[in-house]
Amino acid sequence: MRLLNEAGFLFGLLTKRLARSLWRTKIRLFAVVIMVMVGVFAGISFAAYAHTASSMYDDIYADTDNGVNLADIWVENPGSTWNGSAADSICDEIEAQWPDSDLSLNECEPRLKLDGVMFHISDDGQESIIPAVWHGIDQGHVDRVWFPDHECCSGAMPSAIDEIVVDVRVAEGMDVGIGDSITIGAGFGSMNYSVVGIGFHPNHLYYAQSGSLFPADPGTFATGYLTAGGLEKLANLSVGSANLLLIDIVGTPEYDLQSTTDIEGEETIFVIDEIDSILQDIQDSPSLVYSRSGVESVEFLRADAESAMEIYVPVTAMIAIVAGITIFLSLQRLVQSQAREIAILRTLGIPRNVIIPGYILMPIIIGLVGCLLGGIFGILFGAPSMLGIYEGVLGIPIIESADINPILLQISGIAMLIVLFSGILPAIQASRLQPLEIMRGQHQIRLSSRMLQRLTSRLPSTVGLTIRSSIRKPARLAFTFFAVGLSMLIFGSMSLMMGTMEEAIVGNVEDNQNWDAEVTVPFGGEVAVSEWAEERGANYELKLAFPANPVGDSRYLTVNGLDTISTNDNSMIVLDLKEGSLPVANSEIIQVLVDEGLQHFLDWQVGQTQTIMFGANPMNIEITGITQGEISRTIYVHRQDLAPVVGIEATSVLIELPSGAEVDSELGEISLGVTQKVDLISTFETILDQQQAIFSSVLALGIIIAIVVLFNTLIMNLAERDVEIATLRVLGAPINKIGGMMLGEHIAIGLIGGILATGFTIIGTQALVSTFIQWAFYLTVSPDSMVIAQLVGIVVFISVMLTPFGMWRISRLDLVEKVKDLSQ
Amino acid sequence: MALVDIKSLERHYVMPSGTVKALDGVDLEIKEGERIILLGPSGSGKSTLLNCLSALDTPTGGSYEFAGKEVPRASALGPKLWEKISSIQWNPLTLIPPLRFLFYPIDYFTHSRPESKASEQMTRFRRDNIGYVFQFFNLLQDLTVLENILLIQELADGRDEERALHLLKIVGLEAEVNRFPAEISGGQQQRVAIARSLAKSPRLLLGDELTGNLDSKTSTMVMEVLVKACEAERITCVLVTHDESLIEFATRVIRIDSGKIISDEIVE
Repeated sequence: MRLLNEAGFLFGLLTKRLARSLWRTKIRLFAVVIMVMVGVFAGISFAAYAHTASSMYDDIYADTDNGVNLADIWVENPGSTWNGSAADSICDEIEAQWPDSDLSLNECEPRLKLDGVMFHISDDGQESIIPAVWHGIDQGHVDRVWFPDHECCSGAMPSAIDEIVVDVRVAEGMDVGIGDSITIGAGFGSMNYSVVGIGFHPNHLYYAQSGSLFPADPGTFATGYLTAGGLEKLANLSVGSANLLLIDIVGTPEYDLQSTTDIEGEETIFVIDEIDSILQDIQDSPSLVYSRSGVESVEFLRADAESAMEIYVPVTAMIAIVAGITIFLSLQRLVQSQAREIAILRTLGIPRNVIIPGYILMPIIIGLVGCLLGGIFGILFGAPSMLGIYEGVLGIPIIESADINPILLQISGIAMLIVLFSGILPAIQASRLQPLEIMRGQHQIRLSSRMLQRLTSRLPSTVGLTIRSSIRKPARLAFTFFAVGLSMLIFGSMSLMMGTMEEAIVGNVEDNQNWDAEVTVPFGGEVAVSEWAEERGANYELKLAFPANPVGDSRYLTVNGLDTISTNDNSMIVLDLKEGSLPVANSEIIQVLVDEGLQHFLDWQVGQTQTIMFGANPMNIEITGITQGEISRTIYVHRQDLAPVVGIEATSVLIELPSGAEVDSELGEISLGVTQKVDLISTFETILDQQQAIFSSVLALGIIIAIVVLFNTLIMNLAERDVEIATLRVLGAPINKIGGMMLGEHIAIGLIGGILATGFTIIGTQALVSTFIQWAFYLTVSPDSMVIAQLVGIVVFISVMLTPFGMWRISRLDLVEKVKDLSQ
Repeated sequence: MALVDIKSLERHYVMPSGTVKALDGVDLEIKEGERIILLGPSGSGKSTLLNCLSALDTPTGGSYEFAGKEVPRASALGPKLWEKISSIQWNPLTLIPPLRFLFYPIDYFTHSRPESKASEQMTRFRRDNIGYVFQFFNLLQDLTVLENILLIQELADGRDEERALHLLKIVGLEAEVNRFPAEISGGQQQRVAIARSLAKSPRLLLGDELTGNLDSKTSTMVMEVLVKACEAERITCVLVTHDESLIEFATRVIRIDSGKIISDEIVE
């Protein structure tokens, strides 16, 4: 009992002593606490977003009164429309031949969905033709329009043929309200409709044009929900026409995800295959059958929430590890500087187990304070801001936020665990110090590297010392570089990703697309658009884009039939050929180019023959080359080879407008949508602008953490060098020469650290990208020389910035006191 | 002309408990070629005298001429403006640390800059005139024996490898030039330190308990080497020690106590 009391007393004394020692380096201490705080803050912010988004989508899609009853299987006729009786009879056939499965059919609902345009006159009188998608909803049991109990939305579904519900983003972006009249078209003139509601459609929750990864800029895309009759009238179609069948299964079955190579939802796949066979038996035109993973908006939001779920733990861990390394290095230095005291205590008989707890308790206290502050800031500011950004970028209202308590516990737990680990090794080191060795000063004697001495022996001694000092403590330096690498990864990966995406999207559109407008046409509508172009002296080219899937694979790709397949800078679409050669038209087996994503996911190689399916119709292709730069999965083929297979001549016309010519309402009335190149670029640039604040914050965060980590190590290096520097000063070394050596050392450390951090960032970013690339989103990270220069430059700059501090420190060295130390 | 001419040298420290007179009116002349042993009990002022001789410390009174020229010293400056402000009892301003930076420009020009300038002049004096040997050798562990000497030359006037090797030969370490300090004995390390202190041809070599960390046999060897080297290089020495046995290596013995010279004897 007495022994326990004594141990407790000693523990108290030692811990107090340790706390006071740490307090002497309070700037570093605060920096570490702030790092833990930032880790917890970021973790809570991301986690709140991830959990809120996931549960929100589930609630919206649910088969409940408040949910939209999202379809489970879609049957799409991309080449034409079924007339009223045909659509109903296909539904009847599916119902009658429903496969023998655990999944039961709830409903099959025909729907008409058409591309079109919205004619909009802005406040300044400028008329614009906005690409749009119109839904003709008859029964409306499946894929309902969502009117949440929120100020964004109001009204009800249309009941008359001249009524329409517009999407919230249309209402906000084009200042449209209930009672307003809007003019829209679907390739057969234009009509006015009265707005009776404002809401969301489950297929357009993520509000982007088909094929685009980024939310549309306000005023560049429109969707509206009409009565079936209203849309039939607009498109000049017969009553009951449909091109989409929405199949609702009882409950919500699992389905195969594009982001994984595993096969999920085998039952759904089986049902899709069976429906495919039924369609093959009853009709000729190729139809597409797909699950939720085939609906871009649904898949994108799911993948976004999934990646947010996957990323928040590593982000928290990464920042906590950086903090942990800083704590570890600081404690290790403390053990070193207190070695003599510890040795005296050990000589006086203090047991090891009394020394250990103090070194573990300190990180716990640091961690707890960091978690507390991070938790407070995360809950009060981080999570609401993140959800606010989400609402701002996606335009979807948050009806109910995720429960923050389990998130707080999880994030704090991760941070505390990592921080706790950082104290274990220094604690063990402290307890294992040999009093005799320390008293003799043997623990400080370390033989320098002979190899390094040989390598630098021909250099001046000042340079040799600079190099050898730089890597005097390789383990500490390695840990520092690792921590700097991690913190630069936060900044660098963002820069590299943005650079890559900007190149892939803006660069691709700006440099490789020589058209000014892509005009989507109804079946046979290419003739009218071509005439429009000819009248204005514009260059034009037909394009036939048709969805297909690899045989035995439900994932969709786009087959682009082009008149000119070329890598020539003057062609309408300039292809970037990675390997192989361009296809030749009218070959025995249709020759194609495939994008590198297809090469990656399917291991398709040049020279192979493969089969792709247009619905149930197979087409053999011979791969002659691989292209790069496409984000979505794409095959390029000569249009003349593709047209006979799908039975359509063109789906759009690419137009290069002469100077003075503009897209006009005449073009709008004969088209199903006009996408202008300037809008595509502006959309991405708007996204970049919107995210600029986040990027700047993340950038600043990464740099601040790197500064703290690097400063911590370099200050420790300087502090350890006090005796050396004092010796040199006493022997008459001028401060500017010592400063020169210090500068050289810091440049060397900065360069080594910068290069390692850059390598780490590139590898880390590639690893990060490989975790979220998927069928629908593929890109490769190419190390950008500007980003590399930035990363190396930042680390060198941080390192060099410490030289003035070191000089200041030297100038303040009390040589009289130091000489006392040196001589006693 | 004396190499060192000190008159009424004072070094007083103002402490909360009163003024400590570490040196209290010391008069001393040192001629070229002398080897002086400075003896005295702890706290007698011998190390303070050594620090003043090397211009590490600034006397608070008296004069110090070296080879006929006044030795540079830091001028007596009053407290910095910020120190004045923050020393006022219970001053809420001092609770705001960033405020200190506001006073930095004034303090820099009135104190830091003059202090730094004087400090560099004192360093230059040491570089040009003084060699220093410490009790604990203080060799740079990352440099070899030869590089330790070359470094001092490079930081002073310029590299002279021939002279460095010559000095190592004088101290009997020509075979150890490429060894690291950790690979040689304590006595050898002290001999390297002696060679290092002679590297830039000082006129006055100062040693503070330079044999204090060595056994008597090694001490004798080191002192023999020192005497040999100083004679070869015609260098004046002042060595502080507690060890009376070192008197045999001196040409003059000065005893000091309570900041005053109490005896000054020429050794035959």
